[in-house]
Amino acid sequence: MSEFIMTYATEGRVGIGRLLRRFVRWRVGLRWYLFVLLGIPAIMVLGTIVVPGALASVRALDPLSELSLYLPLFVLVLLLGGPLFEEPGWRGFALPRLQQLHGPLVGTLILGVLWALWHLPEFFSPSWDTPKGSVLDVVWFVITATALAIVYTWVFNNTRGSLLLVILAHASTDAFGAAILYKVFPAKVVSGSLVNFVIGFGAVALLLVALTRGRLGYRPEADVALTPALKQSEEASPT
Amino acid sequence: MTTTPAQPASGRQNLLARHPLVSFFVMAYAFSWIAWALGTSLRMGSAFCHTIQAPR
Repeated sequence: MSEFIMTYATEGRVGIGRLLRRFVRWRVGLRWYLFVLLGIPAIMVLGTIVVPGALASVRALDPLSELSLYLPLFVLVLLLGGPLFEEPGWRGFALPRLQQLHGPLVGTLILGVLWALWHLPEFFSPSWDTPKGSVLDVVWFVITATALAIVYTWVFNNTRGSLLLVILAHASTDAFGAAILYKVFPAKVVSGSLVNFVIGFGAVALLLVALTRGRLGYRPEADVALTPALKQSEEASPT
Repeated sequence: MTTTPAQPASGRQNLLARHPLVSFFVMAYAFSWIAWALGTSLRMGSAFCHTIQAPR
């Protein structure tokens, strides 16, 4: 809701229209769909198998029945979980402005930490399935969210600011963990800690930063997510 | 040539436009955390009611 209030306050109806159009920016290339729907689960699996004790706990699942469960859960997570409600704000409103003010890497790091800390009350919620027994769990969560923010920024910048793709990426992260990963790797070392995500997404985030030299696919000249009006107002008063 | 002066924006709208990111984060945190707090209070209240009704 905040992103719509702020977009209206800064850009008016035109801005709202631009924001809404990015929800349906779907012509971004097949490879980005493959990355968010298959690549992100692959990163989660790779990060998990290197955790000592995880491989020993592997359980074979029936691919057909698991897939038939995974798809409805994916849709449920997308519609009712974080992705659809969080991404328009974090990636839709805040990221373009943070990138413009601080550059893609620093802007993403700021967003990653703020995004993670926004989840703090969830650590007191018994129904939240993320490990939350100690302060170390909060630290792992902040690192994971920051690494994820780098991955999502890279997707966002390379898909011309598509909110659809970052929503799918977020849903893929949340749904695959809940529906498949913890069933295939039932070890406590996997379900009781975020170390596997820190390893997986942390490694990919570092790789992306190194390969793109910190640009994360950001092209200031394109800056598709910002309106000309916003650019002028921020040039006039750099806050 | 005459120009039409822009409609003066309200003070609140000016403040939001001058500090869009800070305003956004304050709102995002406030709306969600208040909702979480209310949800938790309702759940705790409901659990408390169940607890005091249980001996009957």
